[in-house]
Amino acid sequence: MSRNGAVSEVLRFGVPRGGRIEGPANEFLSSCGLRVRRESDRQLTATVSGLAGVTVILQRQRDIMTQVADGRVDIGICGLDTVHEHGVEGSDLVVLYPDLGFSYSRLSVEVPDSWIDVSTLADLSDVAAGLREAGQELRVATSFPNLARRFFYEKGITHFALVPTEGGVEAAPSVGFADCVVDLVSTGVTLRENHLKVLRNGVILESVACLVGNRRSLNASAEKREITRHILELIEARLRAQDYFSVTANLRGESELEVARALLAAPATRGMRGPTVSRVFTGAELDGAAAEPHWFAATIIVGAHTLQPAIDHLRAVGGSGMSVVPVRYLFDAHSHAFEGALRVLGLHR
Amino acid sequence: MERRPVERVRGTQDLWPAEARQLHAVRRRLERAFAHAGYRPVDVPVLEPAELHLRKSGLEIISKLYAFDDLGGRRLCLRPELTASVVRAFVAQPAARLPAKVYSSGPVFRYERPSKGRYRQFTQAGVELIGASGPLADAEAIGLAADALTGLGLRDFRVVVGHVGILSELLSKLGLSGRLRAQLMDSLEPARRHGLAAVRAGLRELDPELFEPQPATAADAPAPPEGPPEGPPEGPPEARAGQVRVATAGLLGQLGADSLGRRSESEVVERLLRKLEPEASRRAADRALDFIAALGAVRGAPDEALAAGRRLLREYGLEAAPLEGLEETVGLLDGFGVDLDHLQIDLGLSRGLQYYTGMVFEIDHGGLGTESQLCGGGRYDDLFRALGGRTPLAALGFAFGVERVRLALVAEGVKLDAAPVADVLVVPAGAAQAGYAGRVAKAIRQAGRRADLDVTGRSLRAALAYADREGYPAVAVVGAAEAEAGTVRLRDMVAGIERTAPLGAAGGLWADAAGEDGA
Repeated sequence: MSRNGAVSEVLRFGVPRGGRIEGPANEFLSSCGLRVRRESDRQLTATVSGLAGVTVILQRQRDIMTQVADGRVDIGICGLDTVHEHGVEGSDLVVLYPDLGFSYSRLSVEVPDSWIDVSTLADLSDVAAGLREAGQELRVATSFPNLARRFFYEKGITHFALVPTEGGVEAAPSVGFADCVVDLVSTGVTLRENHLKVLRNGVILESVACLVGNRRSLNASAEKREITRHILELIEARLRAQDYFSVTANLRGESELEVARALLAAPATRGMRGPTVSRVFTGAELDGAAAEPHWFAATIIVGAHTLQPAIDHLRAVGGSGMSVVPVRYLFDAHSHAFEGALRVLGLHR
Repeated sequence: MERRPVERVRGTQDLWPAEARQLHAVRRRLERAFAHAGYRPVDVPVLEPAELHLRKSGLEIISKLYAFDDLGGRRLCLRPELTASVVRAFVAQPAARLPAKVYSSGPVFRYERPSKGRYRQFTQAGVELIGASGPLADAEAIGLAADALTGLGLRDFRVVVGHVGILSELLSKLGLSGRLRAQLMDSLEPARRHGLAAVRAGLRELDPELFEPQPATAADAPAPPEGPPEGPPEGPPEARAGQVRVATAGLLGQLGADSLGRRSESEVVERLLRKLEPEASRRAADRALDFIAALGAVRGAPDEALAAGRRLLREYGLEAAPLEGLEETVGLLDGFGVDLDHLQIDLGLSRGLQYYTGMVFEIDHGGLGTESQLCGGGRYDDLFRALGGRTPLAALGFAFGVERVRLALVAEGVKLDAAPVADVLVVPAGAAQAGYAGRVAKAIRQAGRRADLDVTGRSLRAALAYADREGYPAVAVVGAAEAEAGTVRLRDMVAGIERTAPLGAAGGLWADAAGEDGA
């Protein structure tokens, strides 16, 4: 306990500030029950409600990456594109959870719409060769020079010049300081606004927000691992729950077993393990009327895509008053996410 | 911040004397073999403009290049091999005499996946023979490489000779684009290692339109048109082409003149027209791939392989000249003393470097596992021009991987330079003799013997134990008596005999051992 009664800092957690990733990252953490609370908008550190010992460091994702790699921050959220562009082979940065389910985008090679003869990398390679014969180089605007260069080399395109650009990359061809672009595409709106198109085989990387950590600092501290486990469990349970609903229906039957049998007869109403069935007591029964057959409430967990088939089958076997509630968390017998993280850290037995 | 040890860069080696001395010995003896054949040393920089290797090296090299921007913003690289540097240097030497026979050696760098015998920094030692064409020059290079290994005492190696000019002749006859030609030249080795389907998949990855998946069975496939497949792809029928030109020009006009960037309207339209008629390119590529598979199957003992190669060339209507050249080279190699049982012809050999134009060769060693290649080389008649030379210039060369040669020698149990650290350890008996001990060491060194001066100040007993443990053949103990008399007293650590000589005649202490002159 520190002087002011708060638990002292155990884990430093980097959360993106600025850029397209900031909003989705905060929404995601809130939906996981990990709301980031800061005193004011200008504060660069924050806490997580309900999770003692965590200091949230609010930074640009590029800085989160380098600080996690250095061990000054223990875990953090950033895009896979940032990890691959700025990651260093053999560093202590590891990806603890590779897909947080937001900030999806594709790092892509884009060329002007008007290049109607160019739709593949082979075409672009020919264009580069043509420019080279004329004593010029294909100019590629990008803020991902490492990934762009590596990709072009791998594909045998060796004659190009990178034009390092921060922001507004996609305007480069129309402004005239580049011939084509390597940039992230998420909705494609910017792409269309700038009269660009993605090459058919021009996707360099499918990116998504991920959770990274510092191998050395997590390996050294069981306390840090414990808080990381807590965070990963919530993330995993929340992500898994997004696809599920809890459905409760009222049914008539002779016994719990009979009702269960009716539901187990169709795949859509089997639930994850099977239905939970319990007696429902009507007012008439309490008044002494012998209600035969009885009423039962059956609860099942169904996937989003089987919700309608489940409702249909419940109706077919006499179900009524069906209530559907989204599942907020779905925990398994053990945390696959944390086991995966331990494996990445080299600690899984 | 904790002070953890600074780690060695992945894929590099720290060599301590036991191994470093072996490596130096191998490198020195390879260089000596080159010098004996009339080659002269050149030294070229480790740092080069990245452009040097981007121009003509091919994917195998470029994708592994250590390239970076220096503080002045230049794009540089650590050299991945020696040949391009030597040829670049030669282009800058307008007055150089021909033929130029030169050798060089030193570290080269490639971003490899490190494994046994494969490092990110390794040592090459090789020669370039610039300004010479023909089978005699080819045989001289191969013969010299084989000789250098034999001179080191290596026996279990195999020379494999091929010729990349055969495939490049077919590809240029097929009229394929420069980019596709380069890609197909690079697929000779992958075709054999991973199969034609894998090569096709690689081609499709870059060009999914030209190499779209073909119908599964032969029956479903459209019958190939009759007629010879050679010759450039035919243009589309003129009338249709004219219509497309007008239509696309109109379309592009609507988009605005500057929307094409630096490309011209006619360039875009003409490329589009060619793309609309992919059949000819597709047929040519198929023909090339069939030929690549057939070439890869031509390997074995020189006589049979050359006969099989001639049949294949006839079948494809290609010139027999490259094979005749190879045959002559093989004949000459017999005269160079290369054991023909250890010689193989392999027309699927390509070396993964794009600057080769003719004969190529490799030397493998049986005892090295997967990283078995000791030496590689070949003819690169276009490189001089590609690097800015005004005329084409016939040239060839090869390089050894020095670390691999050392591993091969170790695998064969060949003893490498096991000489002791020094001939004598000079030990001052006390601090008062330190000055005189220095003079003793100097006198012994001037007499041509290696003298190691003990500077630790340890006791005589400890110094003798150390000399014994480290295998010094002799110790010169410098006591007050020696300093007074101006003499050197030498104790033979093996025989236990002591001998004394005046300082000026220290060399005489080894006089009767002249029979086994080590240094």
